[in-house]
Amino acid sequence: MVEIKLEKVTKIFGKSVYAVKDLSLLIRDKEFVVLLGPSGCGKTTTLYMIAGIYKPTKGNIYFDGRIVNDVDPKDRNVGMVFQSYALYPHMSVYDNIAFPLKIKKMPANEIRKRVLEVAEMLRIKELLDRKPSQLSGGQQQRVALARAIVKEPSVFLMDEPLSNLDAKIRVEIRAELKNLQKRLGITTVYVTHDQGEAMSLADRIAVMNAGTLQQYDTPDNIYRNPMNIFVASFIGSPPANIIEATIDGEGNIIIGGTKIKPPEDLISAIRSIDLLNSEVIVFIRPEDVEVDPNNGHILGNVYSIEYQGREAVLHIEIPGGGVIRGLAPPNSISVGTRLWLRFHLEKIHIYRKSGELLI
Amino acid sequence: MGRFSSILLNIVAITVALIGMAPFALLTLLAFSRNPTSIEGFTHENFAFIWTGKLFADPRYLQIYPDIHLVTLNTLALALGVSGVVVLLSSMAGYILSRYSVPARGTLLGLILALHGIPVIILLIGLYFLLRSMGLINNLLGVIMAKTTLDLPLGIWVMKGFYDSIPWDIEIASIVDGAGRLRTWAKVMLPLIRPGIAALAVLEFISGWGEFLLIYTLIFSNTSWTLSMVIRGLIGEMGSINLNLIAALSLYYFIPVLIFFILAQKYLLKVSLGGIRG
Repeated sequence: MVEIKLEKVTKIFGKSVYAVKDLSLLIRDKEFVVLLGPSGCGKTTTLYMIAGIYKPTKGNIYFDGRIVNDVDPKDRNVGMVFQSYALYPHMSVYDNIAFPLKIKKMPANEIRKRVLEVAEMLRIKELLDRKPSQLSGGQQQRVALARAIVKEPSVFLMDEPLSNLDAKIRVEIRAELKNLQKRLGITTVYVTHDQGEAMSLADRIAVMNAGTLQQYDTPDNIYRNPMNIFVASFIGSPPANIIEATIDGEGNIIIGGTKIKPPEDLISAIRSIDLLNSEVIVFIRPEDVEVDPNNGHILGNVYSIEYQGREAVLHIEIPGGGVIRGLAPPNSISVGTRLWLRFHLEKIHIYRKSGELLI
Repeated sequence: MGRFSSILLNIVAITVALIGMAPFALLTLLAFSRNPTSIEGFTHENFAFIWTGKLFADPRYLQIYPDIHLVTLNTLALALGVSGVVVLLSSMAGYILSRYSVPARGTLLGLILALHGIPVIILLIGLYFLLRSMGLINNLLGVIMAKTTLDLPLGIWVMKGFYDSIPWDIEIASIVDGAGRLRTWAKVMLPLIRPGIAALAVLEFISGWGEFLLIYTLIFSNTSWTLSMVIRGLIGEMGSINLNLIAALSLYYFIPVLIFFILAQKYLLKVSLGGIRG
């Protein structure tokens, strides 16, 4: 319905609080984009700027190539869903859903038809006469969705809409939401701090931190090739291993005093960007760390085990005091066991100590 | 121990309540008393003015004391006028102070509160000259304006508190839904602070109903008197002769306040809590 473009958008609160800094983002028509980051990273501010509630201090926001910086929220045709649901407590469910249409002065019978249609779609038809306070969290969120959908918006804006729901209902509504978005084909910007939610919903994820964009890519690329240490440590559950290491004169990686010889192509990559004899950060996901009783790269000591059902997450102490997370079949290993860690070296990334991706 | 202390507490509470109620009991007994100066006998003749409008049968006194029906209407006009204008203005001013970035908001709010603390009596001369220059001396409208101005600070604070308790999300939702700021205020915000409006309306009604000082200073002709003024006149001139009549009139003056308090109790309690629930 609409393509949204943010061009070097900056938002400053007060005199010098940079909520968002030089953010450029292209959200394609019908795309589902998730803004992901810890609290205070500027994701909600960005959403509010797209909605028109805040005006950017600098930069431009385009809807289909037209600058909308000074367009009022009511003229942007966006549908918004909030973490708190933000239903109007004094109105019935029917009146809540009908509110945006009444504002548009739509004829009453047309309003009725559309409210019923949307209520049917979201399975809340039998709740129409109730007040929001008489609904469960999941039902309230369905009503909030209905209110956003009924006006047939060109953009959906969602601010942590599932955060207040129970885990079970959250997964249920998550699937429903994704299905609905694809079916209606409405460009969607979704804000969350939950990386699992971001991974499961997004076509593309924009990872933000401290007001700046860290990486903007598909969930798969963000998971496999994080652009910097912030993204590497923020994405993934259990979290990735971020290990301080040294590279010696021959291109070997030294972790906690243990020398690991990388494969030839990695060594040549290390040589080509002049990394010999330098301090770096090595990134490896727990699923790429194998354990073996007999041989591997580093000998460690199992320090703690998290049972996860399908697998167990091992926390393994290595020489030099570091802890590395690895996966193993559940109930196969006990605390205190000494075993070897083997890294899938073709999956590792190397970062500069300041955070940028090198290899 | 728990049982003993609860009995003790109850005794204390009942004693305190009795002390508070004693004057009302005496007033009521006196109002129904046949003897004009002490509690003796029973009659409801003292309340005859409610039907006739006349406090005294003697026509000479009618020159001094206006028709009670007229006085009641005056009192009602003052109470409703103050209540209406204060609610109207504070519900708007409170919204602005709660939601907009008003320059020097903190100073302004402090000033509003300080205004509320100024004793009315030191403003009387100023009010007198102000109203005289506007030609509103000896006019109930002038009293309503003066009283409204004096009560507005409290009203604005109370309303601001109620607006503050409404989450921003609800207002943003309405704005995104296409309602402008004005319509959001009227359709979403105002209905949500209805308990606050009710509470303030009752408080201000009672405040206007009980006003004495401004009437005493700014009104000369007895056709614009309110009940408080009539009672004060009676006490001054007939205090030792017609106590039972004064008591009856006082009771008549008090009853609407009592009824209002009982009806509005649940709203008034919310003022101190300052919040609403969705």
